[in-house]
Amino acid sequence: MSDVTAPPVLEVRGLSIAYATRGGTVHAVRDASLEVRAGETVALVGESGSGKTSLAFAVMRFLDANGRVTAGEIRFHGADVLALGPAELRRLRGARISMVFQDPQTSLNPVLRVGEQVAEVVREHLGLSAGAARARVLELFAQVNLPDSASIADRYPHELSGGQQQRVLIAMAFACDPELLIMDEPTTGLDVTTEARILDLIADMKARHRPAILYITHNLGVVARFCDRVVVMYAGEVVEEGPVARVFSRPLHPYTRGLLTSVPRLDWSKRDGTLTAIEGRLPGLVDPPRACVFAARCPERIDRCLEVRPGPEPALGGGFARCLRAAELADFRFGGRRGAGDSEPTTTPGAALVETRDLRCHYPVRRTVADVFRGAAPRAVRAVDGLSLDLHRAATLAVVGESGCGKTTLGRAIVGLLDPTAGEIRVDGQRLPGLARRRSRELRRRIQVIFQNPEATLNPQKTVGQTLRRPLQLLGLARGRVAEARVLELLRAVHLPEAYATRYPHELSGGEKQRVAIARAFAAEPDVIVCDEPLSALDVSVQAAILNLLVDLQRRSSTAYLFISHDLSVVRYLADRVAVMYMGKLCEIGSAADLFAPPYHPYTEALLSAIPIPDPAARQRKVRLEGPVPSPIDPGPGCRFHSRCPRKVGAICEREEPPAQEARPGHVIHCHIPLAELRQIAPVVEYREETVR
Amino acid sequence: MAVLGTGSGGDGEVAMTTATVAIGAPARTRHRHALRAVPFTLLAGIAIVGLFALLAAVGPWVAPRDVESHSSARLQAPSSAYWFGTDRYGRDMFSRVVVGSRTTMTMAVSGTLLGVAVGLVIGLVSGYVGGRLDELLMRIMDIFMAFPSLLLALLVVAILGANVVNAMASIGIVFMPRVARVVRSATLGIRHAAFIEAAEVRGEPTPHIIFREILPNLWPPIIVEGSIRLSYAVLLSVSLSYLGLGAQPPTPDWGLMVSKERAFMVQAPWVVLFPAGAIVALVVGVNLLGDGLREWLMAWKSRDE
Repeated sequence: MSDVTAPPVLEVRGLSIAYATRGGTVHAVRDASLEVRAGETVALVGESGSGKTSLAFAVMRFLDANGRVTAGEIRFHGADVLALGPAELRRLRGARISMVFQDPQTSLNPVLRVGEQVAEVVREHLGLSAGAARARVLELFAQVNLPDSASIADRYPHELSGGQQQRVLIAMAFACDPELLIMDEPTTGLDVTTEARILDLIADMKARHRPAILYITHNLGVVARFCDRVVVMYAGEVVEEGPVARVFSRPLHPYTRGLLTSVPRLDWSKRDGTLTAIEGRLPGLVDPPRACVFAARCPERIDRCLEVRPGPEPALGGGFARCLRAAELADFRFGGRRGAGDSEPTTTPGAALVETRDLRCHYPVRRTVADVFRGAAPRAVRAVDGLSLDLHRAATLAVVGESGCGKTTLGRAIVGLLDPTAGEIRVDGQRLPGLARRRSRELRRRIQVIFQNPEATLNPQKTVGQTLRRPLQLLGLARGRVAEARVLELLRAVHLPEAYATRYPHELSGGEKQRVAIARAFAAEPDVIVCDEPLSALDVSVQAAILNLLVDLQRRSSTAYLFISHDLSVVRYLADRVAVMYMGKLCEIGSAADLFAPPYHPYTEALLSAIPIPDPAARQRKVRLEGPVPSPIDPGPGCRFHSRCPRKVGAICEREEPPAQEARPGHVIHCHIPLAELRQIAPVVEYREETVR
Repeated sequence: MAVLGTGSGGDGEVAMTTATVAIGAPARTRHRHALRAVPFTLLAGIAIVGLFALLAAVGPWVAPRDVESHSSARLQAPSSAYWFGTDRYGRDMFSRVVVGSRTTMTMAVSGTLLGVAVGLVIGLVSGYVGGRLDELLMRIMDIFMAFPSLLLALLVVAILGANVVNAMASIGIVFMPRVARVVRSATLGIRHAAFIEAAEVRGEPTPHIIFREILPNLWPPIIVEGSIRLSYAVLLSVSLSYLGLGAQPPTPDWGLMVSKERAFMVQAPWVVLFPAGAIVALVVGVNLLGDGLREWLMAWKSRDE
């Protein structure tokens, strides 16, 4: 893989970075060291606040004005990067070191054609003529699989999809054959199917150009896919480092272990046991802990951990871990055995609690002047287009699909934030009025919601106590002393200290805010809670804790969840039944166990294949979808998925609505392919049985 | 960036600073940090505006002489007896400038408060409810904004009649659409925040959502806008008085003094210099206060992130 004798392309030694802020000096990175050798891909893994992006920016000399390197050195092919002057830096950046940022939308200049933006890099650094630069751009675009590269090059960024924009940025990064490529979460924010294809592309470009890559991510599944070594950062320190195979099979640092175990495996469900979550929160970096930085949250902590800063303990199989107990903790088993009780249903499906019948939510498209002149008929975005679902008491129905599939619209219609165009929603057989304000108090009490973004979910001007008390008063559940007692009870139920009642949201971490939001939903003692991606804005370690909490609260209260998510591993863990949506329609619905095994809908198959699995030993069959999701404005008849379907039968898919085929009682696949044929499909994901790690 | 920021004065000051504290710093810890970082401009603004506010409150009791009694000492130059000299009726200019603080401050502050209060409600309702009501309200505001400020103020006073109360009302009417615009766009910014949607799902009545959920989050832009408005209000109120449409003689008012005494400007410059100087000082003070407030609030905001 890499030449061990050659000097590293990038060498970071004892790097410390501090930011001057009003709250004091934030020591974002402390004594961090890493190296990237030629042809090697090193993953820099960490959650928010770990300092991984600061480190990368320091390498590029891109630190914000208030940030500075306080100690250590950064060497690129042995040359001191920190000592370079502006002219030398300019020659280095873009040509020998290049970077791909997280958000393609802000990384491209919106007023320049994308071809010109890439050509500029080539002209500047390689001194090519305009014609030669253009040819190089088209060649690069072809390499990153942009279809019809000439026409793409002449487009503006807003005319490209997110995946295409990221491809342009990758082309730009590779334009001058850099020796070092820094990628800062290049797939975060993209849909899973797009992400999978971008990762394939990066792996392909890596094989072709062989640069050294520093790949920054919070997603361990991505790391397993194509990285050679992993550097794990926590709260500004490197806590573990080693080859991918070793770190995933024998992680030594308790934080690394926590990260690995907090991602639910695809063959795990809530019946197999709780997830191992990392409790507590990130230490403050104004005054970071002197001893072990992870000690406060560590399940393996001994007294000495709070006194001594652990040195790098070498690990068998390569690398090191900064843990005093690394040697004793060497034995690690991930997960455990596969659940036995998986097939047993938790609920006896009686009458459904919430039913949607042929639910349609269309957004009218504003007619342009030209449309009016042309006499074009008014058009509509069919976000939800004829959906019939049943949600049973105390059960979890997950709705999955890529962005734009209508899953969020479905949730909003159920909670009464938008008025459906047609069809109906029933609760206990009683028809639900469209908007929440037209529903009775009792109906509003019975349906609650948890939103995605913990930052926006709580009113910043209200204390946690006020936030929790309000639904009690409004819905007439409790007042005065009783309400006070109930607030404290709710806080305990979501594992928050009672003292939090007087705190304001800005004093809480993201996970804590989400706990308050959960408590607010449960305050109404609802029958159903619509959870709209409640975990996706949280760090992995926090996700596991929230997931455990949701499972626990459901067991105790018999509340049903409509769980909207794009994360299939979370869905597999939490859901009893799963519905897969594509462009407003149902593709497949069934129990979680049914859905994750053949027969699959071809779309489900592609989704499963795209999940990043944090296990280099897991085998995942490669199914990739071409192109972006087509426009949801007045899609034609036939199967919505036909334009991207890798298993398209023929013209019938374009003309006729696919039939509902029942594979097993309760497991329905909407597809023209006969069931018998769908059953032949091999499983997408296979774990090695009883993998000993 | 030279920004016309301003602050508040008189009774308005008390109200506004408490509001600032209430929004920006719920937490005790934040109070401490915030107080340590009070910008100099804010302190200077508070000092100047505070002085005029004090004069407005206690002016008549601290003024050395009665402001309306004539004397034979006409057009006297500034001296130890008459610090700012006297006017053509022999009235003490110092006393008149001191006492004159009251009419200007009252007109400017209450006009601003009126404009902010009405504009606030219109902006909130327009931004939250949206749709046709929003269109209607905003088009009405556009009509008001189509007139230059002073012209609209003149028009209002001409219709209602020239006195201090009507001048104040005219300032309020001039400011209302501008405040409404700012508040509406700030409302639109959080209109779809999850906590607002959570309130809708809960079935909160619209007034609760507007005034309890949205409004508390809008204080920073409202305070900044209000302080900008206040500096214009000072100018507008003295302009109205100068044109004879605000305070009426013999009330001591800075605008009125400049207007009535300007015939003697050449032989006795102090009769114009001191009231005009007071106007300038107050406007500068209000701008410093507004700039400082804005800086202070921004600092809070960035701390939150």
